[in-house]
Amino acid sequence: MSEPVSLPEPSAWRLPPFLVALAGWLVPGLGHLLLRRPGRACIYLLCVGSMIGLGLALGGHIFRLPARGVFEWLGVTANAGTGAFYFLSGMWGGWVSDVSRTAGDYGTRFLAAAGVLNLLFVLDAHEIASRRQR
Amino acid sequence: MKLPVAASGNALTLSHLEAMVLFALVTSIALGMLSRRGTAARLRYAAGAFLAFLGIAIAVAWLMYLAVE
Repeated sequence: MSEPVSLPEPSAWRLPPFLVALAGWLVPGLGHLLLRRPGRACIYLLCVGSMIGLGLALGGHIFRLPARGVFEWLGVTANAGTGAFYFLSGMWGGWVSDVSRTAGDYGTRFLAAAGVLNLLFVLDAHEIASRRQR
Repeated sequence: MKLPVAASGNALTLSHLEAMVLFALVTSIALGMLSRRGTAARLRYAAGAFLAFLGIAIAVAWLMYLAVE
């Protein structure tokens, strides 16, 4: 009896891991979508999107360059993890955070957590793409 | 384009507990998806992480409350 043979994936989908990671960073879930994992892509997009939405609705603060001190650098790094959203939010301009309220402070944490989660998703997508390339 | 939420004073207000529940829910789902394979294992992990988030936070809150009292 012959052993089951796994068919090779189409070469067109063997994207360089760096490109997959970049896509996943710019748009949450896009990296997994490119790796043909639409279910995971949708859940990741929902996770990051809901975190960003809550953060904005609560009046959270988005850290921008130039950063002063370690805390602001950490904030910029975490916020920049949201990819395209971070750059788009800079272009909106009219956004005013309100950290004088406790809810605004929660919002800042939600926005930072959204970026950190997206960075974890990016690492996951990069790992999957690297495994496929080997 | 302006996002009027916070600037106009219409920002959403959540209690600490509500914010914590939402944060725990989203983070647990994300961690479950990342760290386990298979739907059942992911659901189990996400549920456990969610309960751990809430349980530990409530326990620490009580400890702080009793320490102040």
